[in-house]
Amino acid sequence: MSEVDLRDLTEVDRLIHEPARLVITTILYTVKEADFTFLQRESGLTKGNLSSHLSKLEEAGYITIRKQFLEKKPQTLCAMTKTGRKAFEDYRDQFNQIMKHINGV
Amino acid sequence: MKNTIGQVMRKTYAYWWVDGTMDMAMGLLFGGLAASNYLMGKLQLSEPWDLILAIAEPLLFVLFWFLYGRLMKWIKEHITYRRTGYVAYQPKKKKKRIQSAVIGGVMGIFTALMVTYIGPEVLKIEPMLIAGCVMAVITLYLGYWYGVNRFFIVAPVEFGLALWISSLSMDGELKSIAVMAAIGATWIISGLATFILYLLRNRTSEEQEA
Repeated sequence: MSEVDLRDLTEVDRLIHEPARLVITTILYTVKEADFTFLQRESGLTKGNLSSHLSKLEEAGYITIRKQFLEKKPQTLCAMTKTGRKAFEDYRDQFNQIMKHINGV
Repeated sequence: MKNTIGQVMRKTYAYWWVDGTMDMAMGLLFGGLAASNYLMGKLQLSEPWDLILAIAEPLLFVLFWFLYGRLMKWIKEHITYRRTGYVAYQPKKKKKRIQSAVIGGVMGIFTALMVTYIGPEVLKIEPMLIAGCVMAVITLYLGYWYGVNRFFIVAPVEFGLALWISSLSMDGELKSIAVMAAIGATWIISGLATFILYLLRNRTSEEQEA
């Protein structure tokens, strides 16, 4: 791997690169929107952990979090923003390039 | 990493199959087709009723997809989303929709050709055995793609039933009805078992409190 490629590795979006957030962003990239229960079930994270990761992604503008009541019960809906989708696509492309280089060596 | 992302994406789509309702809908479709074919054969109608019934069969498909969409939405909202969470999928892009339609069309034509001409005329194989084989391959593909393990049981059962029915000495039309009904029943049983297990394993917050 060349020096430029190594620099690529250090420049990946760390917000997405963290394993738990990578799972969350992958799910949200695939769907239009999902609620907290679904995300918790699919990611296997605890409520607190998931909540903390979602907050970080929301702060970065990657996702939106909407709270509503459904039959008198609170529901937290999450969806990926355009910025988030772009960041995820960039991350995926960048990582695919790196993997190609690694496999090519 | 690329594979992991792909697996998470597939797993997210597999949620559609989590409660078994989709299996039951597939079973009902095959059951409906078998019933309509049986009725058409049984009634022995004269013109114009035979023509009307021939037109009614594709309409049955359209009606099925309309009712299926409504029923699925209701079931998911009242049963699935309350238990294991809500998800709305991305609507397919136009290019992807056209691609799916073309693949579906090609597969339909290929299956029809295999069942009506290539199988019986060229390969000298029972048409219903080919139909069962095609269904089993599609089921295996769905199982692999979505990671739904029960489809690896459904597929050989479909093939086994088609093999058994095609070996029976009965009228060709009756055989096709029997294979369709058997495939439908397999899907309904698979869906029902999954649905019961899903309800037992996943309870709503009200049920947990009670």
